[in-house]
Amino acid sequence: MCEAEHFIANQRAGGQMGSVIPTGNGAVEQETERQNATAEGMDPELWVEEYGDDLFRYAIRRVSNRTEAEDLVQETLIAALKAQEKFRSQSTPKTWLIGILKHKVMDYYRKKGRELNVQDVEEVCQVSDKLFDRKGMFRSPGNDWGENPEALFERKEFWGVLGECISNLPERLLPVFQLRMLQDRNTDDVCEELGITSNNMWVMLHRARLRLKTCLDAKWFSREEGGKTC
Amino acid sequence: MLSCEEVARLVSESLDRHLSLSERTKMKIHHLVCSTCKKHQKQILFLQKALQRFCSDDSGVEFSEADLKLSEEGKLRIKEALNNDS
Repeated sequence: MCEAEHFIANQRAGGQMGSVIPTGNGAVEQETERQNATAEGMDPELWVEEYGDDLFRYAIRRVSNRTEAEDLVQETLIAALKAQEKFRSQSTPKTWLIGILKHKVMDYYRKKGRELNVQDVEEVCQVSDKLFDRKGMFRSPGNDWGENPEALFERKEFWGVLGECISNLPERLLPVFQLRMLQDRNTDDVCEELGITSNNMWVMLHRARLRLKTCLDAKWFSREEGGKTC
Repeated sequence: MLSCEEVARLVSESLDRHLSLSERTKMKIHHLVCSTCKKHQKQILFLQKALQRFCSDDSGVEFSEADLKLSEEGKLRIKEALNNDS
Protein backbone atom coordinates (compact mmCIF):
# COMPACT_ATOMS: atom_id res chain seq x y z
CA MET A 1 0.00 0.00 0.00
CA CYS A 2 2.78 2.37 0.84
CA GLU A 3 5.17 1.76 -2.02
CA ALA A 4 4.50 5.28 -3.25
CA GLU A 5 6.20 6.65 -0.16
CA HIS A 6 9.61 5.60 -1.39
CA PHE A 7 9.67 7.25 -4.72
CA ILE A 8 7.77 10.27 -3.50
CA ALA A 9 10.55 10.63 -0.97
CA ASN A 10 13.12 10.22 -3.70
CA GLN A 11 11.80 12.86 -6.00
CA ARG A 12 13.71 16.03 -6.21
CA ALA A 13 11.96 18.65 -4.15
CA GLY A 14 10.47 21.25 -6.44
CA GLY A 15 12.16 24.22 -4.83
CA GLN A 16 13.26 25.61 -8.14
CA MET A 17 9.86 26.74 -9.20
CA GLY A 18 9.44 29.76 -7.03
CA SER A 19 12.50 31.56 -8.22
CA VAL A 20 11.90 31.44 -11.93
CA ILE A 21 10.97 34.72 -13.52
CA PRO A 22 9.22 33.93 -16.79
CA THR A 23 9.91 36.03 -19.84
CA GLY A 24 6.32 35.57 -20.95
CA ASN A 25 4.92 34.91 -24.38
CA GLY A 26 1.31 35.95 -24.18
CA ALA A 27 0.68 37.50 -27.54
CA VAL A 28 -3.00 36.77 -27.03
CA GLU A 29 -3.56 39.67 -24.75
CA GLN A 30 -1.54 41.98 -26.89
CA GLU A 31 -4.40 43.73 -28.62
CA THR A 32 -5.99 44.73 -25.37
CA GLU A 33 -2.74 46.19 -24.17
CA ARG A 34 -1.14 49.44 -25.01
CA GLN A 35 1.05 48.42 -27.93
CA ASN A 36 4.09 50.34 -26.90
CA ALA A 37 3.82 49.74 -23.19
CA THR A 38 7.01 48.88 -21.47
CA ALA A 39 7.62 47.95 -17.90
CA GLU A 40 11.25 48.90 -18.01
CA GLY A 41 12.10 52.17 -16.47
CA MET A 42 8.53 52.70 -15.44
CA ASP A 43 7.81 54.27 -12.11
CA PRO A 44 6.80 51.43 -9.76
CA GLU A 45 4.01 53.59 -8.44
CA LEU A 46 2.58 53.64 -11.93
CA TRP A 47 2.75 49.86 -12.05
CA VAL A 48 0.42 49.76 -9.10
CA GLU A 49 -2.02 52.07 -10.84
CA GLU A 50 -1.70 50.45 -14.23
CA TYR A 51 -1.58 46.74 -13.39
CA GLY A 52 -2.49 46.51 -9.73
CA ASP A 53 -6.14 45.69 -10.29
CA ASP A 54 -5.42 43.13 -13.01
CA LEU A 55 -2.98 41.34 -10.75
CA PHE A 56 -5.31 41.56 -7.82
CA ARG A 57 -8.18 40.12 -9.86
CA TYR A 58 -6.01 37.15 -10.74
CA ALA A 59 -4.87 36.66 -7.15
CA ILE A 60 -8.20 37.02 -5.38
CA ARG A 61 -9.59 34.10 -7.37
CA ARG A 62 -6.85 31.85 -6.13
CA VAL A 63 -6.35 32.68 -2.49
CA SER A 64 -8.76 32.92 0.35
CA ASN A 65 -8.84 36.60 1.26
CA ARG A 66 -8.09 40.13 0.17
CA THR A 67 -5.08 40.64 2.40
CA GLU A 68 -3.36 37.57 1.04
CA ALA A 69 -4.19 38.61 -2.51
CA GLU A 70 -2.78 42.09 -1.89
CA ASP A 71 0.36 40.59 -0.39
CA LEU A 72 0.82 38.52 -3.52
CA VAL A 73 0.44 41.59 -5.73
CA GLN A 74 3.04 43.34 -3.63
CA GLU A 75 5.48 40.44 -3.80
CA THR A 76 4.94 40.22 -7.54
CA LEU A 77 5.70 43.87 -8.13
CA ILE A 78 8.77 43.75 -5.91
CA ALA A 79 10.04 40.71 -7.80
CA ALA A 80 9.31 42.50 -11.08
CA LEU A 81 11.19 45.56 -9.91
CA LYS A 82 14.24 43.45 -9.19
CA ALA A 83 14.03 41.65 -12.50
CA GLN A 84 13.14 44.50 -14.84
CA GLU A 85 15.93 43.67 -17.22
CA LYS A 86 14.43 40.23 -17.78
CA PHE A 87 11.35 41.76 -19.25
CA ARG A 88 11.19 41.13 -22.97
CA SER A 89 9.20 43.41 -25.13
CA GLN A 90 7.61 40.55 -27.07
CA SER A 91 5.47 40.05 -24.00
CA THR A 92 3.18 42.71 -22.65
CA PRO A 93 3.99 44.01 -19.17
CA LYS A 94 0.69 42.63 -17.94
CA THR A 95 1.42 39.14 -19.25
CA TRP A 96 4.87 39.28 -17.80
CA LEU A 97 3.60 40.39 -14.40
CA ILE A 98 0.87 37.74 -14.38
CA GLY A 99 3.57 35.16 -15.14
CA ILE A 100 5.45 36.24 -12.04
CA LEU A 101 2.26 36.28 -10.02
CA LYS A 102 1.53 32.67 -11.04
CA HIS A 103 4.80 31.64 -9.46
CA LYS A 104 4.00 33.65 -6.37
CA VAL A 105 0.65 31.89 -6.07
CA MET A 106 2.42 28.54 -6.28
CA ASP A 107 4.90 29.62 -3.64
CA TYR A 108 1.98 30.66 -1.49
CA TYR A 109 0.49 27.18 -1.69
CA ARG A 110 3.83 25.56 -1.16
CA LYS A 111 4.40 27.60 1.96
CA LYS A 112 0.92 26.89 3.23
CA GLY A 113 1.40 23.23 2.56
CA ARG A 114 4.64 23.30 4.49
CA GLU A 115 3.15 25.08 7.47
CA LEU A 116 0.22 22.77 7.68
CA ASN A 117 1.87 19.53 6.89
CA VAL A 118 5.05 19.30 8.87
CA GLN A 119 3.80 16.17 10.56
CA ASP A 120 2.09 14.95 7.47
CA VAL A 121 4.80 12.83 5.90
CA GLU A 122 3.49 9.43 6.83
CA GLU A 123 0.00 10.42 5.99
CA VAL A 124 0.84 10.42 2.28
CA CYS A 125 0.16 6.72 2.25
CA GLN A 126 -2.88 6.80 4.38
CA VAL A 127 -5.32 8.34 1.94
CA SER A 128 -5.66 5.03 0.17
CA ASP A 129 -5.86 3.17 3.44
CA LYS A 130 -8.65 5.42 4.59
CA LEU A 131 -10.61 5.13 1.38
CA PHE A 132 -10.10 1.48 0.54
CA ASP A 133 -10.23 -1.69 2.58
CA ARG A 134 -7.73 -4.55 2.35
CA LYS A 135 -9.38 -5.96 -0.71
CA GLY A 136 -9.19 -2.59 -2.40
CA MET A 137 -12.91 -1.93 -2.14
CA PHE A 138 -14.23 1.52 -1.20
CA ARG A 139 -14.92 1.51 2.53
CA SER A 140 -17.82 3.89 2.16
CA PRO A 141 -19.83 5.14 -0.81
CA GLY A 142 -19.13 8.73 0.30
CA ASN A 143 -21.42 11.70 -0.10
CA ASP A 144 -23.53 12.31 -3.12
CA TRP A 145 -22.29 15.41 -4.93
CA GLY A 146 -25.57 15.97 -6.73
CA GLU A 147 -26.52 15.90 -10.38
CA ASN A 148 -24.95 19.20 -11.26
CA PRO A 149 -22.04 20.07 -8.99
CA GLU A 150 -20.81 22.48 -11.70
CA ALA A 151 -23.39 24.93 -10.35
CA LEU A 152 -20.92 25.41 -7.47
CA PHE A 153 -18.56 27.19 -9.84
CA GLU A 154 -20.74 30.24 -9.33
CA ARG A 155 -20.12 30.26 -5.61
CA LYS A 156 -17.18 32.07 -4.17
CA GLU A 157 -17.17 30.02 -0.97
CA PHE A 158 -16.66 26.88 -2.99
CA TRP A 159 -13.41 28.24 -4.45
CA GLY A 160 -12.32 29.16 -0.95
CA VAL A 161 -12.83 25.59 0.20
CA LEU A 162 -11.07 24.19 -2.87
CA GLY A 163 -8.15 26.54 -2.21
CA GLU A 164 -8.04 25.39 1.38
CA CYS A 165 -7.99 21.76 0.26
CA ILE A 166 -5.14 22.50 -2.15
CA SER A 167 -3.19 24.14 0.65
CA ASN A 168 -3.71 20.99 2.71
CA LEU A 169 -1.99 18.78 0.16
CA PRO A 170 1.23 17.33 1.52
CA GLU A 171 4.29 19.16 0.36
CA ARG A 172 5.58 16.12 -1.44
CA LEU A 173 2.65 16.12 -3.80
CA LEU A 174 2.68 19.83 -4.48
CA PRO A 175 5.32 20.20 -7.20
CA VAL A 176 3.68 17.60 -9.42
CA PHE A 177 0.25 18.91 -8.63
CA GLN A 178 1.18 22.51 -9.36
CA LEU A 179 2.88 21.84 -12.64
CA ARG A 180 0.33 19.42 -13.99
CA MET A 181 -2.95 20.67 -12.60
CA LEU A 182 -2.46 24.32 -11.86
CA GLN A 183 -0.17 25.15 -14.77
CA ASP A 184 -1.61 22.55 -17.10
CA ARG A 185 1.81 21.46 -18.31
CA ASN A 186 2.03 18.31 -20.36
CA THR A 187 3.07 15.12 -18.64
CA ASP A 188 6.47 14.80 -20.35
CA ASP A 189 7.38 18.30 -19.19
CA VAL A 190 6.36 17.54 -15.63
CA CYS A 191 8.45 14.38 -15.49
CA GLU A 192 11.43 16.08 -17.02
CA GLU A 193 11.27 19.13 -14.81
CA LEU A 194 10.96 17.13 -11.61
CA GLY A 195 13.19 14.27 -12.65
CA ILE A 196 10.60 11.59 -12.00
CA THR A 197 9.25 8.67 -14.04
CA SER A 198 5.79 8.69 -15.58
CA ASN A 199 4.74 6.06 -13.13
CA ASN A 200 5.79 8.19 -10.16
CA MET A 201 3.92 11.11 -11.59
CA TRP A 202 0.73 9.12 -12.11
CA VAL A 203 0.81 7.84 -8.56
CA MET A 204 1.38 11.30 -7.13
CA LEU A 205 -1.36 12.85 -9.22
CA HIS A 206 -3.68 10.04 -8.24
CA ARG A 207 -2.94 10.61 -4.56
CA ALA A 208 -3.37 14.36 -4.89
CA ARG A 209 -6.75 13.86 -6.56
CA LEU A 210 -7.87 11.36 -3.93
CA ARG A 211 -6.93 13.81 -1.24
CA LEU A 212 -8.67 16.73 -2.86
CA LYS A 213 -11.75 14.65 -3.44
CA THR A 214 -11.77 13.48 0.17
CA CYS A 215 -11.20 17.00 1.41
CA LEU A 216 -14.00 18.50 -0.71
CA ASP A 217 -16.25 15.65 0.31
CA ALA A 218 -15.65 16.37 3.99
CA LYS A 219 -15.46 20.15 3.92
CA TRP A 220 -18.09 20.98 1.39
CA PHE A 221 -20.35 18.12 0.49
CA SER A 222 -20.95 16.72 3.94
CA ARG A 223 -21.81 20.23 5.06
CA GLU A 224 -24.10 20.85 2.11
CA GLU A 225 -25.77 17.51 2.08
CA GLY A 226 -25.82 16.98 5.80
CA GLY A 227 -23.48 14.03 5.48
CA LYS A 228 -25.94 11.89 3.66
CA THR A 229 -24.79 8.83 1.76
CA CYS A 230 -26.72 6.99 -0.89
CA MET B 1 -12.12 -8.14 -12.00
CA LEU B 2 -10.21 -5.07 -10.91
CA SER B 3 -10.59 -3.76 -7.38
CA CYS B 4 -12.10 -0.33 -6.72
CA GLU B 5 -8.64 0.91 -5.83
CA GLU B 6 -7.21 -0.21 -9.16
CA VAL B 7 -10.13 1.30 -11.02
CA ALA B 8 -9.71 4.59 -9.15
CA ARG B 9 -6.11 4.65 -10.24
CA LEU B 10 -7.13 4.12 -13.87
CA VAL B 11 -9.69 6.90 -13.58
CA SER B 12 -6.97 9.25 -12.45
CA GLU B 13 -4.50 8.06 -15.09
CA SER B 14 -7.09 8.51 -17.82
CA LEU B 15 -6.60 12.23 -17.22
CA ASP B 16 -2.86 12.00 -17.81
CA ARG B 17 -2.34 9.30 -20.40
CA HIS B 18 -4.14 7.29 -23.01
CA LEU B 19 -5.54 4.11 -21.45
CA SER B 20 -5.24 0.89 -23.44
CA LEU B 21 -8.35 -0.72 -24.85
CA SER B 22 -8.10 -3.46 -22.27
CA GLU B 23 -7.79 -0.96 -19.43
CA ARG B 24 -10.77 1.00 -20.66
CA THR B 25 -12.84 -2.13 -21.01
CA LYS B 26 -11.98 -3.34 -17.53
CA MET B 27 -12.82 0.06 -16.11
CA LYS B 28 -16.14 0.20 -17.93
CA ILE B 29 -17.13 -3.28 -16.82
CA HIS B 30 -16.31 -2.38 -13.24
CA HIS B 31 -18.33 0.81 -13.48
CA LEU B 32 -21.34 -1.14 -14.73
CA VAL B 33 -21.50 -3.12 -11.54
CA CYS B 34 -20.07 -0.72 -8.96
CA SER B 35 -22.04 2.46 -8.39
CA THR B 36 -19.53 3.74 -5.83
CA CYS B 37 -16.73 3.67 -8.40
CA LYS B 38 -18.96 5.23 -11.03
CA LYS B 39 -19.71 8.01 -8.58
CA HIS B 40 -16.04 8.35 -7.74
CA GLN B 41 -15.23 8.74 -11.42
CA LYS B 42 -17.80 11.51 -11.81
CA GLN B 43 -16.38 13.27 -8.78
CA ILE B 44 -12.82 13.07 -10.05
CA LEU B 45 -13.89 14.43 -13.44
CA PHE B 46 -15.74 17.22 -11.68
CA LEU B 47 -12.65 17.94 -9.60
CA GLN B 48 -10.57 18.15 -12.78
CA LYS B 49 -12.98 20.69 -14.25
CA ALA B 50 -12.99 22.66 -11.02
CA LEU B 51 -9.18 22.78 -10.96
CA GLN B 52 -9.08 24.00 -14.54
CA ARG B 53 -11.55 26.73 -13.66
CA PHE B 54 -9.66 27.52 -10.51
CA CYS B 55 -6.69 28.42 -12.64
CA SER B 56 -8.44 30.25 -15.41
CA ASP B 57 -9.54 33.83 -15.23
CA ASP B 58 -13.15 33.09 -16.03
CA SER B 59 -13.87 30.94 -13.02
CA GLY B 60 -17.45 32.15 -13.30
CA VAL B 61 -17.37 33.35 -9.72
CA GLU B 62 -19.44 36.43 -9.27
CA PHE B 63 -17.39 39.15 -7.69
CA SER B 64 -18.63 42.65 -7.24
CA GLU B 65 -16.58 45.38 -8.90
CA ALA B 66 -15.12 46.45 -5.59
CA ASP B 67 -14.15 42.86 -4.82
CA LEU B 68 -11.96 42.79 -7.88
CA LYS B 69 -9.99 45.93 -7.22
CA LEU B 70 -7.14 46.73 -4.95
CA SER B 71 -8.32 48.80 -2.06
CA GLU B 72 -6.89 52.31 -1.77
CA GLU B 73 -5.10 51.31 1.44
CA GLY B 74 -3.73 48.29 -0.35
CA LYS B 75 -2.38 50.42 -3.16
CA LEU B 76 -0.72 52.79 -0.72
CA ARG B 77 0.81 49.94 1.19
CA ILE B 78 2.19 48.37 -1.99
CA LYS B 79 3.56 51.65 -3.28
CA GLU B 80 5.29 52.21 0.00
CA ALA B 81 6.80 48.73 -0.10
CA LEU B 82 7.99 49.28 -3.67
CA ASN B 83 9.58 52.59 -2.81
CA ASN B 84 11.31 51.10 0.19
CA ASP B 85 12.61 48.35 -1.99
CA SER B 86 13.84 50.40 -4.92
